[in-house]
Amino acid sequence: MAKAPPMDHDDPVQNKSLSVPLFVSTLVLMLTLVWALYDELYAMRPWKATQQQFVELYQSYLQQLRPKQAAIEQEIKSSVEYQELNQKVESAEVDAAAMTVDIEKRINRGVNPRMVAVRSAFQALRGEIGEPTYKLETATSAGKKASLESDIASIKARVVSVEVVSDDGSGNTETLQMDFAQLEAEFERLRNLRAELQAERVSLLGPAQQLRAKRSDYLKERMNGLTAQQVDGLIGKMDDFVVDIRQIHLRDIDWVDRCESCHLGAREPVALTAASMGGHEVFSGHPSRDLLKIHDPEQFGCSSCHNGNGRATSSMVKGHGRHKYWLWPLYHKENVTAGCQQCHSKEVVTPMAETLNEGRELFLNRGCWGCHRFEGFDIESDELTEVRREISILAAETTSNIKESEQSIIMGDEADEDDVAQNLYDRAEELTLRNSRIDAQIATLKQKERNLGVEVKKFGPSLREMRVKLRKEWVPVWLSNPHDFRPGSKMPVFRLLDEEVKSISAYLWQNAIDGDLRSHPLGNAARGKELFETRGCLGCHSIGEGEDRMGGTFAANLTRIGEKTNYNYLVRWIHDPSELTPDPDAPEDEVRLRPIMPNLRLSVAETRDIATYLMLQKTDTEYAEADYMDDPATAAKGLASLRHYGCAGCHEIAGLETEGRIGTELTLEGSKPLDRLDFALFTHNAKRGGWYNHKGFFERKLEDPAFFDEGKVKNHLEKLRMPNFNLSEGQVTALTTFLLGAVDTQFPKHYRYEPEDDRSFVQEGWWIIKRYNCNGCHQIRPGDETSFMAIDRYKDPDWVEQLPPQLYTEGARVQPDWLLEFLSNPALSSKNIHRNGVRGYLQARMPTFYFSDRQVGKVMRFFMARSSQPLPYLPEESQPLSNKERLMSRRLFSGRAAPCLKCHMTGDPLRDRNASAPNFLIASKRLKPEWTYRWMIEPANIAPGTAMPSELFRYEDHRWIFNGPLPAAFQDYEEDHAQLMVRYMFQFTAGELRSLLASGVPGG
Amino acid sequence: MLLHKPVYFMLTALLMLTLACGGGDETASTEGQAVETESYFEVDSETAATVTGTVILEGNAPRNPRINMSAEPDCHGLHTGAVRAEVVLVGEGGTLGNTFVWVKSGLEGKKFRTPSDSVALDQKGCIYSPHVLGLQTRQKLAVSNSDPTTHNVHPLPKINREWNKSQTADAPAIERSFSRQEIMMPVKCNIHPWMRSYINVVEHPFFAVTGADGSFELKGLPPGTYTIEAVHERFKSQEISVTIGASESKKIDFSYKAG
Repeated sequence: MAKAPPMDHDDPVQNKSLSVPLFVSTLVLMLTLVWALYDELYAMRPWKATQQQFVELYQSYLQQLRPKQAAIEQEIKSSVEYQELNQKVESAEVDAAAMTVDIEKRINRGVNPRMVAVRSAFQALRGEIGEPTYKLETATSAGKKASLESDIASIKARVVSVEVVSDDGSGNTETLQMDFAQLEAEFERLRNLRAELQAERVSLLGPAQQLRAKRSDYLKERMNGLTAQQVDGLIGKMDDFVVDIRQIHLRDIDWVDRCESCHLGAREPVALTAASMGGHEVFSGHPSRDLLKIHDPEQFGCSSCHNGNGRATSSMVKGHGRHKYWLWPLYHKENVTAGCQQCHSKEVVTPMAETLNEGRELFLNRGCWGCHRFEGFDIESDELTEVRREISILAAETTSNIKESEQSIIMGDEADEDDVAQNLYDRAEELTLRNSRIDAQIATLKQKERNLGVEVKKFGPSLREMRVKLRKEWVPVWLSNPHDFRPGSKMPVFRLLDEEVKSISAYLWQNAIDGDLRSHPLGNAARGKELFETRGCLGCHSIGEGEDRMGGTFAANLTRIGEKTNYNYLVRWIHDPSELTPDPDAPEDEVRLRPIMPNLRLSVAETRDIATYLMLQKTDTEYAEADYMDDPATAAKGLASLRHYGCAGCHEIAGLETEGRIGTELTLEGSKPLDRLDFALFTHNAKRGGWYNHKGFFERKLEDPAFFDEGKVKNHLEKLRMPNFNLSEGQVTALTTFLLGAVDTQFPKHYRYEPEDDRSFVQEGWWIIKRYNCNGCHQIRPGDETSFMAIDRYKDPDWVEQLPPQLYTEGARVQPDWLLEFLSNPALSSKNIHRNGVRGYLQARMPTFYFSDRQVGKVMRFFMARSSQPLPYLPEESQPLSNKERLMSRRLFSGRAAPCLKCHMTGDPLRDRNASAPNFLIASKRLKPEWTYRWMIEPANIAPGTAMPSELFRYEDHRWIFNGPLPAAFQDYEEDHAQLMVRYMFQFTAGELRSLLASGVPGG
Repeated sequence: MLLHKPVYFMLTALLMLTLACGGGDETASTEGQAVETESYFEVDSETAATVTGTVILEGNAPRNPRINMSAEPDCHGLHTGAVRAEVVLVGEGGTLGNTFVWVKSGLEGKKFRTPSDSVALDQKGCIYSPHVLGLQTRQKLAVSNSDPTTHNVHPLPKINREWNKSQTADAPAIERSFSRQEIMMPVKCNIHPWMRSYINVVEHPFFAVTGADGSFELKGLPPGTYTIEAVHERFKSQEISVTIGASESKKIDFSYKAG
């Protein structure tokens, strides 16, 4: 035995065990594995637990829902109508079964087996023919070919006998003796017969099929929500629920959203609320299904509109992107419509985005664009600049062409060779002709320039008129704090030093045009009050403060108007807002801007009454003397201040005509890098407080524009210049929403809403509608609240018909040419202008706006496009009435049962005292027959609340007939009564009206 | 002390085993819950209480405006003498009619059965009769036309859905109902603009319209505390709070000042 080597006591291999380290490291390794697995399966996938919770909650909700829906379904099913339908379906099914049983029998027992038998005999013969045919094709000698042909002929001539059943389905058998051609014909005959029989069967089953569809439609139309069966389907779907990532992938832009991994209820057919899902908001359904119909998440994704990090699934904070490493945090609920702006940036009104719309409207009607450029706002001045640039380029080209042309002629005259001279003369001629083309171009551009000259408007009133308009001492009071004088005024509060107020007042006063106003006697204030409250002033202006305030917010509140202006100016202004004080020093080509305020076509007497009433609107506030306003030295300092505060952004001011905007452009403000928003001393504060983001910045800045000056050591002129608009919390939210959405979109063109068809007319038109406040008087979209509707007087049952007309379907109602004429001259008369051309019975008057031709066209196209009306409009000739028809319609029209002329105007002032509808005489020029027909049948579907009653006609025997006692002449009339009345209206003449009135129609 | 190697091995294996066998899934199932059936509140006739009273107009009643129907022979012919609007209807001793008295609050959360009979509104002599009426939500209103002329019936609700229907002479009654509670909803006829009636839609049966004697009675009330309101088209509404015990009968009076 060999002896073991001597043991080395220090050999670790020999005397140290690695068990402990091995155990420990295994343990650590295992724990790491456990941790890794836990992390992988749960910690990093919180949505798994969420999904399980969803399934539980949803199922229990569905279980609760099922009996309710079943009860509703049962109730509908037990209704008389449903039962009737059901019975019809059942009896039709029985009838159809009885009628089709013979056909089925004939097909199955006759035609089909006979076809099989014939086909097999036919195919056997065809097979036999096949062989010699092939040989014939490949044979080379003529003799062989002839013999094969005769073989084929003999097979074809062979008569075979086939045992078949009769095709009448009786089951009788017969034996056919047929050759090849006969068999083929028989087979064809049978095939056609079968097709005929099948068609007959379908037509016999048709009525039952139609009734079944009607029955299911009946249920569907009345069933509010899902049927019990559909609920069962959803419960079943939850039973098979697989816990997994739910992902939307937009291939074209490689956009990935996994939001629905948690928000599982978003698109469920049951509208889920947090309350119905155990208070878990994450499971509530998308609040607007209509929106999802237009923006299918499969095509648009989620975070594309809502922001947030659509790919992140590891936590809610990461998914919502509300941490400092994600640039596009999820929009908060109140700002959610910000997401619409990136693709709808061309619009001022976007359906279903009301907060955003409010924000845009504030931007427009609070004059933000006076200081801040924003693409789309004040587009007219951009266009005007562009047009003028183009004109000057073209003019320069003309001049150089003339020069070159003259040069060419001189050179030609002096040329040595004839052909060289000829070339030069040609060149000269070409240049002259080119100029003629350019002249035409320039003429078109000048036309556009003239249009734009009417369209361009500053936000605020022209200050060049202030000397004739304002009370001198009032100016500095107003400037130091406009909101003290007029709470909620659109003029914001600037942080002006006392000397700035003085110098600005002095500059403006001394640089305004001085002129004389025509002197007017005072009018009747009581009458003026009535006129002011009913003619339409309150559509835009308001009067009274606090609880007593009434009227619109679009224009100034006139509660203290008597303190600031003078009577004669007010008369001139109300009578014709476009009348300006002549400026003897003005350069010849000076363009002075027209106001937004339209002309109400008031008589001078009416104007005096209103002005007299308005001048009484004042308090007994005392105004300090302001002699310094006449001091040239004080005025000299004013110009710099006016420049510094950017006053010319909103006002016309002498000496500041070419002044640009002083604010930063905001078109892409929402995507400006955060470090370029100046949080000043608040940066750390904001980061700690969780508002270091765009929303936080915008909200604070809008609420108090001086906010970020706090704590800074600055001299007065270094301070932030943005004035305070005293916005309400809701207004701050709306504007913040708009600015948040003002981003440089990452989406390609086909995602953006930039239509090139008629829908672009709608986009374009809204800008005018909003800029001129058409909404102040008219409802254009369902749900619109006009200024009038809020006034107590118009809530009185006697006054509801005095509300200006709703324009929901204006484009379908009126003819485009007529609308153009009406918008240019709402009196529809050049002589009799102090009236409404259509609704003479309205106290409120449709004013004449200072529109350019282009704008009139845009408004017309807006209404046409909104009602899907094609342009140009080609009126259909109304089929002339026969004498009998004329008599019939006259009887109905003026009969007791349908006293049309009791409400519709006739032109006779005595009769028209109670009128509440337009005169029929303008119908044929104004209306479209198709709309008129729909109007007569159900006016409430077109103008809810209209004075025109519903159900004047009832549907019977596939036509509308008058719903009341009919004149005898109608006895054998088979046509549509409403249609007849439309034709009568469209052929209505002044003579017809006279004779109707003379014959004493009801109400005479 | 050292453990034997196999022990560690086994421990390691055990660890892995534990890991391998993860927790099993558990599926949750919930039992369907009973459906809530709509239950109507039944007044216990044993304890039902009554509130009665009178509405008084102090001072001289304003004269009602005269209606000029001369332009409408069909209407004019149905009257002899001057016709006046029925705005302020006063009886002997200054009692005020056409006042709608109802339980404005105190019945919240109680649901009452809808009466099966309908409430009538007639057009006679181009005047609505009655001038003020009350009915329950979803109760039928039957509007009839006893005139030889066409009317259009046009309620002007603020909450309910608006409608406007033409009704020729001898046409069958128009039957409609209102789903939401609404007080003093005007009804007008666009053809005869002077015609006016006021419909009051209430969620419960405790309301009354005073006649010329100014009296009203709200009976069958469950004991409790209520706010009773008197509403008149011309005068400002008044409220009185009243607590009634079981089978109690209380009298409350409303008093308006004219002018």
